[in-house]
Amino acid sequence: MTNEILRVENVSKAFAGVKALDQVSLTLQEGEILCLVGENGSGKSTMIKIISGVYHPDQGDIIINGHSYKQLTPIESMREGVQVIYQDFSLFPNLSVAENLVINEQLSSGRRLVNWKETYKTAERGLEEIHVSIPLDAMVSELSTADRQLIAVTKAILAEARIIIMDEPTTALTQKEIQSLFEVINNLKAKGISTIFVSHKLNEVTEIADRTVIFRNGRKVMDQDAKNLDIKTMEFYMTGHELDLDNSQLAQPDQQAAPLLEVEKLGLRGKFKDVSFQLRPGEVLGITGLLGSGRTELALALFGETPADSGTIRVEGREVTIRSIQDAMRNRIGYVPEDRILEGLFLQQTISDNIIVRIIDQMVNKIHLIRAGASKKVSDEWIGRLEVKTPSGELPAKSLSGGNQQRLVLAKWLASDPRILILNSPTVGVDVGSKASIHELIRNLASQGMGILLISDDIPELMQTCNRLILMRRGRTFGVFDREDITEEQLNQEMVADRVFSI
Amino acid sequence: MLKKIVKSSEFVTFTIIVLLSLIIGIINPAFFSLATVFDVLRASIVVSIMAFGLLLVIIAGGIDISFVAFAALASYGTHMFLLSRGYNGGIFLYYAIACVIGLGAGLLSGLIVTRFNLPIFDVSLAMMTMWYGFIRFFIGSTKNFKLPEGAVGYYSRFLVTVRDPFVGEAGLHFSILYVLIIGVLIHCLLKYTTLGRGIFAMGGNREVAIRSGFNIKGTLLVVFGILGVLSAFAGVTHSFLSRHFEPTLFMTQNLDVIAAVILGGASVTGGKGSVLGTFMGVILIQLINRAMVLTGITVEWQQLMIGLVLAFFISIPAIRDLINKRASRAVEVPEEI
Amino acid sequence: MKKLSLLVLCVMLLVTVLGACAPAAEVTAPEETAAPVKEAKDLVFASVVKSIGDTWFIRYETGIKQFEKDYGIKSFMEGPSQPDSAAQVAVIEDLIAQGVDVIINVPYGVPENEPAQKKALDAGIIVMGHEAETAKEGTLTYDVEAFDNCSYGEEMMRELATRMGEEGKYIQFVGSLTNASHNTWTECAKAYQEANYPNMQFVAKYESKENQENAYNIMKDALKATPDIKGVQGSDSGDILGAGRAVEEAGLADSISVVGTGIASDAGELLKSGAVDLAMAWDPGMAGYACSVIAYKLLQGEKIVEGMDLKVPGFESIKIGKGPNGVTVIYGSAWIKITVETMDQYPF
Repeated sequence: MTNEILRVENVSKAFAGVKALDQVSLTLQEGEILCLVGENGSGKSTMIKIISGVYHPDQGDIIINGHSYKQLTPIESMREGVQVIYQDFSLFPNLSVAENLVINEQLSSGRRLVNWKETYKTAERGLEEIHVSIPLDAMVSELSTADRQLIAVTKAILAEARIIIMDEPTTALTQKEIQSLFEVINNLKAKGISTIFVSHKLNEVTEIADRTVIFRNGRKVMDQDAKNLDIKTMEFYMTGHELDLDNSQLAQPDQQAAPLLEVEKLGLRGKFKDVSFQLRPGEVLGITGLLGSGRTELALALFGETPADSGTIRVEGREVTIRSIQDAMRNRIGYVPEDRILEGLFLQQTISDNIIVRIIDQMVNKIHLIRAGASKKVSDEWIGRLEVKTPSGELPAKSLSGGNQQRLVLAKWLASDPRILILNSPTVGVDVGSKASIHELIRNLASQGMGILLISDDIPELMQTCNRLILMRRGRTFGVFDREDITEEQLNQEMVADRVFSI
Repeated sequence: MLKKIVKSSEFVTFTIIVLLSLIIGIINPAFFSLATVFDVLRASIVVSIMAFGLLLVIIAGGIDISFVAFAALASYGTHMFLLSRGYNGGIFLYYAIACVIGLGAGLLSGLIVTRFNLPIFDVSLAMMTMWYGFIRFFIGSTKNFKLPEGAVGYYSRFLVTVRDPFVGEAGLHFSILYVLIIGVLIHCLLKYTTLGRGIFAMGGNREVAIRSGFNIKGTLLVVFGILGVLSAFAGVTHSFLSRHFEPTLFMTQNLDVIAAVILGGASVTGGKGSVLGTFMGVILIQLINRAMVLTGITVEWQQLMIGLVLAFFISIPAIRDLINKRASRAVEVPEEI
Repeated sequence: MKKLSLLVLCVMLLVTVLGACAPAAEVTAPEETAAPVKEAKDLVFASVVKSIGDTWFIRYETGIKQFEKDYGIKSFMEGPSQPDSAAQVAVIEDLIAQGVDVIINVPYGVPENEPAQKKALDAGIIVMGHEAETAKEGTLTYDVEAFDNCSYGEEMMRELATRMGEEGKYIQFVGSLTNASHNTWTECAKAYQEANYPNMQFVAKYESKENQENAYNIMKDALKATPDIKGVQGSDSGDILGAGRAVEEAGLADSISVVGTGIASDAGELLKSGAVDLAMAWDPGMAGYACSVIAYKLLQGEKIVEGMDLKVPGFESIKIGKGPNGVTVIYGSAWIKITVETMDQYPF
């Protein structure tokens, strides 16, 4: 591998005086898989946009295929074979697979008429290149996320890509789909196509990368062969400090204490069945399983959003009926939803309004006007306790970065002071640094006597935060494990095994 | 292939047409006649031509309600102008002048939409009101029944006629050929040109269409231009078929045309629709209208029926979704393992 | 009648322009020292209409101008340039101040005009109404209508029956099922047929939604549903046009009789081709003339009685009734019958 295809030399880029990239250099070999890793705001996206010609660097050079550019335009970038696959894949949901594959070529050729025979032929050739078969006349809207991604990759190949940049490509994929994506990437490598893989999922990075580059605060802090590179080292470079992931820190709940929550033979037709478990004060109980295993539905049932239709729930020894969210809140059950932006926040409203929204009843005076002082006090307290990075609680929630939005969602639910907290995939899309601090927060809350149900398919996360784990499959509890009794590998196998069955 | 046809919304429309025809025919066997076919087609001519123009706008992701005013402006304006000149020739000059007026009105809407980046519906609401006002203020406000001599008898130029001992003569008006020609042209535009695919792309995902390099503004201008020309064409055709010109032509009929396009399988949110489907949508609405006299159902029933069929069509995606969910749920949790 | 107000609405914009340059009626104020009974030459009759410049009211004006010529009484028409009750009321108040002897009002909004009419009555002015059957008692001296709706419907049926040879099936059209006049016409026509023409058979009543394209399509379908239709009665002025076109295109102009409300300028071509056999309407000019005659008779101290002959075509034998809200209504039989032979006499 001596054929250098891309070289970025001493590139800097500042926005409004803030340096997004500072004297960064990068090289890419033909057929190389380069993983670009970094926390949010570390400069990864800026680098992608510079390579694809969307941003012009303030200084530095970009050399592609031996051609040197001071200012690269998107068209030039594409002509040099750079193709970016964005998270939305840039596809037309209402057009067929074949047409989506060929439409860019149709446009750039300047032809006014469409030759359908040719379109199908070209599309078929493209799909063959990456050895996948997807019906050419299917509408893209009918396809799974994974298939859409493959279409986007094929589209890039048909555009004669030499360098394919994938921005967080695995976010919405299942374990199995990630595996087949990796196959495709390796396939491209065999054809001599280079890939820049942008991700913060370090276990994926170790699996796919030839070489890993880590950015922090606009600088390149590490650039080395992926062999012999472990997750801990990468985390160190990403955050700039050793992350303390020592499990011994996990507090053990008092086994003698009466359970906070007892669930017995809980069921919801078509979703889950016969689910039983206990949750003690101070315990973090993980619930895991693949998408569709019923884990989210279970959480929503406990929170009253889609109530269960059989079984019993006891809170602190008392049998309760949870038919609505109000019932759940009355029993001091809190829920932090899965999609932090769509489900959890009023993005246009201020940060402090978001925090107090669930306890607004306590914040009003006699004539039902909100007491500004009280609401500020509560919101400031939580902004501080959860380390939400913002100059003021009066800014809109959308001004926060992804990780801080996640903390804000937590603050919103914690403000009502629940005893039982259900967290659904709390760190999806959150960078490593924020993730660690959220984990720490979870442990802290548990140590204060709260009972926490953590729903996640992030196995390292479960291993680091939970005292016990429940594995769900096809709507049933498949097994309950003490953390000490199971390893990451075993858990991983148990989860994937299920996928093999259900297909 | 067959499965694909059955799944298409055109097929649903077609099925409803067949069922409805059977029901009407069973209640009143007089329905099954060539005369009926001719009558339904005759009544569909004008609506189809407008619907084809509107189809483009709807596929591109917009809804226009002002096209009826384009039709009124072009037909009434042309007529009053030619009348004042003492024109007594044939219909061709009418079409020529009206299409130019329609093109201008369409392009004006298009320019406003693209230049100021405004929602199509909002602009069309303003333009509709403006044009009808313009007509009555500057052109005239009363119906005019004076046809140029060269065009008298146009309304009964039939391709074929059938004689029925009771019903009298029923003919297939030759302007159905216009529908055929315009339909084929629009179909080819949509299916076989980069421009047409751009209209679909735009309706499917506007952002991606821009990113892919489609000329969105240019495409919209063409779409509005075609809408204007076809509306004008329809307006003139209608006026000659009904033998009079009116300043408030089609004023309350825009929703019928929109309904026809939607019944034909186009999606209100854009990106979907076909010429064949639209034509069937028009036929379906005509049939529902005809059902009234032939089966003796009242006008209230007729409206209820159109409403129900529309509601059904709009909920088709939701129904499909529901069916898919049912299916996947069944896979996930087998009752007993 | 609803059609009329629609028509008026349509002209609204045009009239805005014309109104500005319309000649203002010159009114000479009557002498202060008016004798109890004035000479004809000293009398002033003013008509107030919904909107001047509308073809319908231009026709109305010819009626009162004819009266001026025949009786030597100064008559003129005034009104807003577009239909507007408030503007109309202002015109009436102006006329009260001028001290005219008679006001003939064709109100746009009947209730809105009532206070002004009452004020005029209180000022000793004779106030006649036209197309104001629904006025309250005590707000008009008399209301005058060209005909009562039931008689009009019966007359239409007589005409239709004659043309059908008093036998065969017929259908009716109404502009809308909620239009009171249209439904009175058709109901009375049907009742009259049942009583007088046992060999005729009613088939159905259809709603054209005041759209002649609908009438056209309904007629075509009606021919299929009932192939042996022999007669059609239309109510809205578009009904006979749509039905007539369908009949003509089916080549049945000779075997089907089409009779209904309509005016010569719309129905001319179909009358010529024979597709439409008779268009019936009323002449606003005659109504204006009749109003003036009644007012004059009142000024002369005459009593208005049932069966009186006003010496006005259509008002040879008047009928007196009560409107729904109490006003006394004088009915004529002033419908006009427009056929291919007579259409040139009615240029409106």
